Formats: sequence, structure tokens, C-alpha cells
Amino acid sequence: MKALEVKNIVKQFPNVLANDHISLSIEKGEIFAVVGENGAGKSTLMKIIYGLYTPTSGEIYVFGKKVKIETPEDAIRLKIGMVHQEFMLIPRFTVTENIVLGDEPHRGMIFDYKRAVKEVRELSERFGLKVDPTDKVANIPVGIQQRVEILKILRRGAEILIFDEPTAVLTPEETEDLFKALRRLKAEGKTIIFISHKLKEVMTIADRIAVLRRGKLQGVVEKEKTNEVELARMMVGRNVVLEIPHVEAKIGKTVLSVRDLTVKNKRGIIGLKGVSFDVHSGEIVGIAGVEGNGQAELVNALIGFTRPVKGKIELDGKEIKLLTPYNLRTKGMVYIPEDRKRRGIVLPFRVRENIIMGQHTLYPFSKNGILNDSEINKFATKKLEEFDIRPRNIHVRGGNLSGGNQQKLILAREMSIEHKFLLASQPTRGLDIGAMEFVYKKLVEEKKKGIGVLLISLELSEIMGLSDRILVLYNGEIVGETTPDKTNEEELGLMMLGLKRQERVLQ
Amino acid sequence: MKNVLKRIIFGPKEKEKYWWINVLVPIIAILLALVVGAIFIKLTGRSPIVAYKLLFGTSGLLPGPYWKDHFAEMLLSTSMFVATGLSFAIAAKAGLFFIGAEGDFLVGGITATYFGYAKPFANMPTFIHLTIIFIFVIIMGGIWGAIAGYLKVKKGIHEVISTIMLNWIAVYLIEDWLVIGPMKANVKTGISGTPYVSNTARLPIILHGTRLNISIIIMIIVTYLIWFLLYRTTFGYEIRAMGYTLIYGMEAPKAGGVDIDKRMIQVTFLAGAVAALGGAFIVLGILFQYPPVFGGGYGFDGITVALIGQNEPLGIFLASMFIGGLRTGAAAVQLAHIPKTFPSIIEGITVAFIALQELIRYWLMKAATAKKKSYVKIQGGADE
Amino acid sequence: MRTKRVLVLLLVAVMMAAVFAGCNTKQQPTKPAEKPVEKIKIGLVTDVGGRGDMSFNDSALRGLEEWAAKKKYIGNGQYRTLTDEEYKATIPDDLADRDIHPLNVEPVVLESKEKKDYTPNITTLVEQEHCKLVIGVGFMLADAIGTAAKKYPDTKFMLIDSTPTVNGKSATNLPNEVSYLFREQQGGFLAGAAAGYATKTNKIGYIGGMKIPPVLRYEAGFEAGVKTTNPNAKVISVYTGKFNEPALGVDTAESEINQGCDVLFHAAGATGNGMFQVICQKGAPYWGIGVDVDMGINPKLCPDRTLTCAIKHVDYATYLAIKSVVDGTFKPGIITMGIKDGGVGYAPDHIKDVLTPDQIKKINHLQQMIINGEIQVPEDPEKVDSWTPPSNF
Repeated sequence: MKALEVKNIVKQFPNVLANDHISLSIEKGEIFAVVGENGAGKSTLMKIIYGLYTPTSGEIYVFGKKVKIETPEDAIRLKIGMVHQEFMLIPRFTVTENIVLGDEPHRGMIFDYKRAVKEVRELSERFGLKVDPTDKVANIPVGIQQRVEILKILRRGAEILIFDEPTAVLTPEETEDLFKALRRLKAEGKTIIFISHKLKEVMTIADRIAVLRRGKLQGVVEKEKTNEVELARMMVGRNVVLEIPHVEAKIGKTVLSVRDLTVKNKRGIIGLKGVSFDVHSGEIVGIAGVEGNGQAELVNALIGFTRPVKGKIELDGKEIKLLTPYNLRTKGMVYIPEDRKRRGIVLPFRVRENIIMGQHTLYPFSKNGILNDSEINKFATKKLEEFDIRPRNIHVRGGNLSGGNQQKLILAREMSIEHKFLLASQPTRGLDIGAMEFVYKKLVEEKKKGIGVLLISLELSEIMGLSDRILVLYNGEIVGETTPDKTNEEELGLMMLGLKRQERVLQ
Repeated sequence: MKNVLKRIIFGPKEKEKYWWINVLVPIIAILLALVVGAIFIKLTGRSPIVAYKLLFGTSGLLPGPYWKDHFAEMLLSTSMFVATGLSFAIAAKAGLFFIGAEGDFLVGGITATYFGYAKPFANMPTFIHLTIIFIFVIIMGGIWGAIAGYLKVKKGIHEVISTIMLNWIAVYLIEDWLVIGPMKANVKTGISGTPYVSNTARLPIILHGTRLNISIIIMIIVTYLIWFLLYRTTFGYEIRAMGYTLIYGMEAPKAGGVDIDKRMIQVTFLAGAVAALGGAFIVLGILFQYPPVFGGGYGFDGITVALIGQNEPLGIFLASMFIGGLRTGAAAVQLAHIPKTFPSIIEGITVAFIALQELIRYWLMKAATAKKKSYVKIQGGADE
Repeated sequence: MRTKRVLVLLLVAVMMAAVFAGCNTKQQPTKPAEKPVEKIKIGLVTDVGGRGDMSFNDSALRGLEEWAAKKKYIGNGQYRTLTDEEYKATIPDDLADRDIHPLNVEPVVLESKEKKDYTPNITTLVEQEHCKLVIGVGFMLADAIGTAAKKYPDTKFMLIDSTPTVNGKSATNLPNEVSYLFREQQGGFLAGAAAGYATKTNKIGYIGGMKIPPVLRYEAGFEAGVKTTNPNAKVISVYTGKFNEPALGVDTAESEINQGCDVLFHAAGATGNGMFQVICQKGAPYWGIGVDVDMGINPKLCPDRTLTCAIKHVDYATYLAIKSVVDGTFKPGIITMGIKDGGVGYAPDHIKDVLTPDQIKKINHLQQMIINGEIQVPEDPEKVDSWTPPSNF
């Protein structure tokens, strides 16, 4: 019996076709995995099924009946539950209170806590999800919190459970426990949809696997009939979107030298483990890797947001002892951030104000701490023209620009600051093809000017097309160094997923 | 006129389509509050018209009998509200919810008192004496304010918590120790509180026959300087960028090389220093000593005027005049047998409506765009 | 939209005009009183305590509103006229034989919200209301009254409980100002005498507010009174430094009780309410002694355990000052009122339940001796030790 069927689902966002005619059918009582790179459309599809997005077109059938899911409430009524990546629990409430919240057992007007505890205990025993109903959620580990989320869904009578990258927050032991729980749920006849980009896990737990790439379904395979290498190939694909004219690199002296760099992530765990590499003037060094393998930590260390645990960073031959954004910037580093809205521009600032951020203390924009409006306006007007930022109005607020124009604004700003080294972190994320092309053009121009560029990207085609050298980052380490003409996307894909390693010697 | 106003409020040549909405929001809030206040007066069986006539007739905002006196009193209050209002606004611009103006005000007051009567200074010429006093007031108030910034930067303590605590520490330190201890006046003279400041430490009167002193001129200059600082300097540029981003956890200014920690301490220093000016004014211009019980509340009034003034320096100045007027008129409504709390009620309701400003803004925007559409339609019709 | 813009501009313009135009506006000439007012206007400025403080301000207001004007304040700025019976009931027993009768006056009361309001309030009463007499209640108005008296020589001023200052310097020779002071030590003395008889532990607590002269006089008189009736008893004296913090009064009272005191007296304003709170909680055998007004009749404090009260008749002083203005006998200077003039006294409250008739007789005798000038009660607590108590009472 089919538990869930989707037919020809299309989801069009303003600039992106997130789901392109996807059809899937999921059997009752199976563990069905959906894999794909970041931005492949997995989460969008799941959010459509859970009622968080409305599809542009397409049909959904639940247990054979055609349904319309417009809100999560609809989904819950249809016995669909979702465990989000970020838990929706109230830390100060107990496990029981969290689980029954919104549907509390009561006696008259009064919340019957004892009965609730009993219910939760029964539920937890029935599905083998061990929790202590009276613990405060704030005091229990992440793995147990996830169980609370699952119990919450089960209590609402969910038959189809969607897990959105459930292992991302778990330790290996907790992952093992989760898998045990998933198998138990399967035995109880529940249907499980498991979203991931970790192929090893998918191969362990799933019965069937659907692969998405750039919004399209690449195929559904049975676990027994496939292997990780094939899945990786399907995931990464071989799809060069843009022709990037190749410019021979004129390699000069070292502009950035990173040695033994070890950095903790936000949760205090080492995310980058002793990485060493150089960037020379006139070359683009690409860093390939699946998101979450140390890119964020590398960027944060290079721009001075996170102080490294150990290791050193040299810019233009000089070691930077005190790593602050200001020090790094004044020593010749500029940065195109991966998240423009958070790190790139100040949304309520006008274009003329945004365009001088980082050089606002320099002449001619200011003198003795006093801003020179006419110089700023002149500069802004010039840059709008030069970088084709629309509308051509220096008084528009940054937040009112389109994504592409925001990115152009950042490029215009960063490239006009005197620099030797450009850190471009996912510079085309969320851009349409036209804007992408513009960014590529500008990066190549930089290279021609003799700037050293470090390009961090999740798009293999971008890395292959632009880089003179490629470093592959996996699990916080550089697992391979190569050049585009010595490798192909397939090999890179395997390295990125940790299936292949290449020893490298640093000069 | 429109352009002049726009330049004052928004700086030169900046095109903001519905800029007048920002001005209209507080005015509408005030008008709504007056309407509600009128209903309130009516319910107690008196005439709202008489009440308002008295309130505003004696507020100093509008000409009337004894205008000179009321006008002077209104501006005296204004200068103190501007001080604490700007204090709140500067920090708010940098994304801080700084409510330490109350404590800084008291610190400014006690500092002015001490340097006003302390022997080595007491016989200097007025100008030099006042300059010395204000330098120390700014330093002491600034340091008191900067403690909150320092705690936030180094220890991660939220400024709301630290400023509330600092307010109380200031009250107890000053009123329970200094004023009844080391700085106590001789009991035999029959004076309670601290000694009186010397004649050279008193703010010169600018309107003869009233108490109006140069504090209002100082605050006009300070208001302009703060505006200049916010909108014309790199410092203001950086703190505004911080204010727009910090509370949403955004990092653009930090990525741009702004030293957020340093700016945070500087901003709290500035906020403390400006609030301390108000404390100096009340001591050097009105009370001439630090009384045993201060009462206070100016720090929190500062939040009120900053809210009404939309955190803009000129707005704060006008809001301070309004609140100052209400306070001045408060005495007269008592003569008409209306409770003295009535003006406070108007104040409170105004703030309540300011809190609803997004709603008012929405209405205005809707009204503006609706009118515009119909205007276009008519034009279109004419073309056909 | 247009009209809205115009409206904005207009409003802003008015505000701006107010700023700039104000600087060169001449004050309008004071209007001469158009016709003789029937009633004489008497102004009164409260201190920040305001109406309803159950102490100083209320007492002065009684003198003005109830005794002089025969009116009762009924809230929201409204008055009603008292009936003759009600009028009689407002006069306490110890003033029953004094000449108190309604006068032809109209009260104008301004409450002060903060310290900075004193001067403008006085100005309003003088310039706008043309009050003949302006009364300032309490030492906090000393500077405001002093300065105003100098500025408006044609108006009479009265300051209660303090002498005026001008710029922080004492100014006692103003021709249009009268200060009413009280011999608090005499009231304190009688309360102390009662406390000396009432104590079982021979330890008595005193809680003072700030060390200002009236409070010091209370302390001196109280200690002298105890010394007179019970030379073995010890007075533990503590100053809280505050008039407005009941919590502090609670702490102080508890600490004194822990030290063995069983009778407590306070001269600490609202801080003393904390003392009564403690007395009420502990109940017998502890006794509290109130100050300034008869706190033994105030149900909000602790009427059941109030032994007596050292009373200061601010109301009567206020009435006398008004009367002097009405009948033209006003004299400037300092008037100090003692038991003899009805300025101070003590309330009987629970004295009958605690003291023997003989002891009460002795206290009354002491009172008579003070009136006759046979006892000079010390004003300074430091001089109590060297002061010799009377023995022949």
C-alpha cells in the first residue's frame, strides 16, 4: 500500500526552480531516503509535504487519497509528522510538558500532569524511545531531545514521519541509537522519510533512495542494487552551467599562507583540523566540499571572527598576530560573504552608506572622522555605473535591492578597497545565472590583476571552471589537492564525500 | 520650508518617499492621547476644554498670561529631558537598550555639587569654574555609563540588567553615603543635604526675572552635536550600522572592520555623559545643592521623550518641550481642581500610542498610497 | 495628503516659533485685582510628600482647609463645607480650649511633584492667585520660601518647621516672613517620661530619620524624659538617615528589639511606619510611640500597640499664622511654639492601660512644670548627660 505519493510537484521561487516535476511514491512501512546536495530541493519538497510551502503545481496523495496540504495542521491531521533540524522544544518545560503541549490531558479545566506523565511513559516504552518524562528539556542531551520531538509527533498519531537531516546534530553513538529507534518504528508499521546528504548513513538505514539534483529527480534506487559511488555520481552530476573562459594564471608571490590552522565551531567542537595551504597572487584556489565540513570555520578564522585554537595566518608575507577583522582588512584582505544579508550589507542603510563600509574611515570618504558626503555620493554613483547596480539610485536602502544587485554592491565595495587577497565564500549562492556570470567575470578580472583569490564553493562546476588549483575539504581536513585538468567532477565528488583520499605534500 | 525640515531631520538630499510619516506618527500619537485624556476628564464630570485651556495655557508652549514664567520653566525642564532622552537615543541607535540615564543623572548631579562647592574651585571666575565642573561631570557620568558597556563587552551581561543595577548603586552610593556622610552640610546651619554650590558655579540666567539659564542653550548645541555625530561622522556611521544589525545577530559591520566592542564602550560613555549633564543642570541651575532626597525620575522620562521623539535628536528636543510643557502646566490644572496627575496620564497615554506606532504608520501608509492611486486614476481618466 | 503635510508643518512651526519667539517676549503686566476679593486667598505649597502623607502635609492642610476655611477636601480637587458638628470634631482634645473658629479665607493648594516645582508653585500662588499668605510646609521649602519672600515683599510667607535660607545662607530677618518652629523636646520629654514608666526591660529604642534640628530635639527631649522617670533605663538611639523608607524602619526596629528594647519611639516620617509594622507583628509586650500627629488613631498603623504620641500641632501653627494675616496682627520672625502655646503635646492613646494613675498624675505634673518654666528640657542630645532631671514631681 502506498503511504504517500507525490505527482509532478513543481515549486517555483522568484529566482529558482526548487522542484522541477518531482514524482515519488513511498510504500507503507519503508524507510525512504531522499539525498542530494545543499540546494538540490530536498527540504523544499519536504516542506511542501508538511504544508509549510504550497507547491506551484502538482498533486499529493496520502494513503491513496488525494489531499491538499496547506498548513502543518493539515499535515498533522493526515498523520504526517516532521522532525525538524532545529528542535521546537521549550527548554524550561519538562519532557512531558513538551510532548503534550497543545493537546494536554485535562480534568475539567485543570491540566492533569500525572496522567500526562503516564501517557508519555507508555508511549516511550511502546516505541523503545527511552526518555525520563519528568526531566527538564534544558538538562537533557541533544539525542534525547530528538526523541522527545519524535514522541511528540507519535503522540499526535503520525504514521508518516519525516526526518530533516536528523543526524546533523548527533554524535555517532546517538546516531546509532536513532537508527535503532527508526528500525523499531518501521517494525511498528510507520513510514519514514529520511533526508540526508551523508551517503554512508543512507546506505545503512534506508530501503530505497531517491536522488535529487538541482530540483530534478535523478532516480530512485533500491539499496541492495546500488553503492555509494553510484549515488555520489548521481548527486553531483556532470552539469556545467556556464562556460567560463579559461585564463592562464600568472602565479606570483604568496599572498596568503595558512599553517596548521585549527578552529572550533560555534558549539565548541573542533571544526577545522590543522589545515595548511597557500594562495599566490594571480591564481584562484578553489575549496571544494560538502557544506559543514569546515568551510565556515575556515572563513571565520580568515576574517577574524573566530580566534583559532592554533596555527598561523600570513597575509602578504607578514604574520597577523592579532586576528581581528580590522587588522586583516587593513593588511590587504577583502571578503565576499556567503550570506550577504547577514554579513555583506546593512539592510536599512542606503546604497551610498553600504558602499563605503570598511573604507569609511579612509580618505576621501572621511577626514578626521567626519564623513564627506559629496565624495561618498560621487564614489557611489561611479560604482553603480561600473558594476551595473540597479536601480541607479544611491539613496535606495540595501534591503530593497534584489539579491543579485546586493551581491554586485558587495563586489563593488570589496574590490574597490586596496587588497592583495580576496576571500570569496560561496559568492554565487542564491543568484540567478546572469548575476553568477557577472561574479565569475569579476573574479577572473581580479586574477588578471594579480590578486590572490580563495574561492569557497559548494558548486563543483564553479570550482572546476574557475580554479587554478583545487583543495578538497572533508571533515575539517584537506583530503586532496589537484588541478582542474588533472581531475573530473566524479573524482572530486568522491573526495568530497570522504570516499577517496589523496596524499598531498606542501611545498 | 519642507526641504529645510527634511535636511534637518534626514540630512541633505536624501530621498525618502513618505518621510513625513515619521513626523506625523508622534504627532498623531499625541493628538490621540489628548482625545483619550479629554474623554477621561469628561468622565469625571468636568470640561475637557477648560482643562486643556489651562494645561496648555500655562504650559509655556503657547502664549498666554504669565507666558514668560511658564516658558522659562518649560525650557528648564526641556533641557533635562533632552539630556536623558539623548542618552537613551544614542545607545538605542547603537542597538543598546540603555536605561542607565537615571543613575548617570544622579552621578552628574553629585559631581556638579562637589565641584561646585569644593574649596579650591569655589572662587574662580564663573566661566572657568563651570567649565571645570562640566568636564568632571562628563567624565564621571561617562565612566558610570561606560561600566555597563564594559560589562556587556567583557562579561556578556545584558545592558538592561547592568544599567538597572547601576541606577540603584548610584542612588544608594549618593543618597545613603555621600549626601549624609562625607558631603553633608553642617547641621548647625540648618541645611539638610549637601552644602550649596558657590555663586560662581551657578548657571547664568538668560531670561531676566525667571530661572531660565544657559542649560537650554547648552542642550541646543549638544542636540546639534549629537545629530552631527550620528549622521556626519564615521563614529555615527559605525554605531548606526551596529544598531541596525546587532539585535538581529547580523555581522555586516563587524565584517567591515568595525570594532564593535570598542564602539559599545564609547557609546555607553557618551550616553552616560549626556545624561549626567542633566543632573548638573538641576543642581547648578535649580536646586544649587544635592538635596537629601532627590526624587528623580528624569532618567525614565528620558525614555519617554526618546520614544516620542523617535530617537532622532530634533524629535527628542521637540518631545522634551512637549513633556516639559505638560509638567509646567501640571500646577495650573490643580487650580482648576483637576488632579495633578492628569498631565502624567496624558504622557502615559501618548507613550502607549507611540507603542502602537507601527499601526499608525500602517494607517498613514495606507491612506497615502490610497490617495495616490486615486490621484493617478483621475489623471488617467483625464488623459483618455 | 496635502492637508496632512500642511498640518505637520504648522504644528512644527508653532513649536519652533515657541522656542525662538520666547526669548524676546516681554512679560505681560500683572493685572491689578479687578475688584476686591471677598475672601482672602491663602496659598499652600506641599513638599513632595503631598496630600495624604498622614503627617506633616496633612496636618498643615487641616489647619488651612478645615479650621480656617471650614472645608473638607473630598478628592479630585473638590471641597465641601463642613457642618458645625463636623467642624468641632476635627479639633483634638488638647486644643479644645483654644480659640479656633472659621475665618474668611479661601484655600489655594498646590502639590509639588518634584523638588524643582517649589519655586514655580510659589510664583503661581503669588503672581496668578494673588494670595495674601503663602505657606511652605517643611524644611525642604526653606530656600524656595526665603528666595520668594525676598522677591515678593508685598506677600506674606510662612514656613513651617524651618527657618528660611537664601542661597544656602540663613535669612531670618525678612520683614514679610514668619517661621514656626516647635519645642519638639517638650513633646519628646513627655513621651520619654511615659516610656520610662512603661518599660520592663529598662531598654528603650529611638529611631531617628535624618539628623536635622527638629529630629535632634525630639531625641534630646525623649532621652531627658526617660532619664527623669527611670534613671536606670537606657535609650538605644539609631539614625536611619531616611524619612521615606519603611523597610529601613523594619530593620532598625527589629535590631533594637533584639537588643532588648520593649518600647520604641520614632521620629523618622514614613520610615517609622516600618517600626509600627514590627510592633504590630510582635504584639505584646512591645509598645510603639508615634510622632508629630496622633498615630494612635490611625487604623493603618498600629493603634492597638501605640502607647502615646509626641504631637506637634502643625495644624494649629498654620491656623495661627492665617489668623494673624486675616486680623492684621502678622509679625515677621521666628515663632517657637511649646506646650504652653499648644504647639506640642502628647496623645493619651493607651497610657491608661499601662501606667498607674499615680504615674499619669506625675506626667501631668511634669507637663505643668514645663508650662511654668520650671523644667528646661535640653535641645541637644549631647547635652542630656550633663542635664539634671527634676526630682520634685
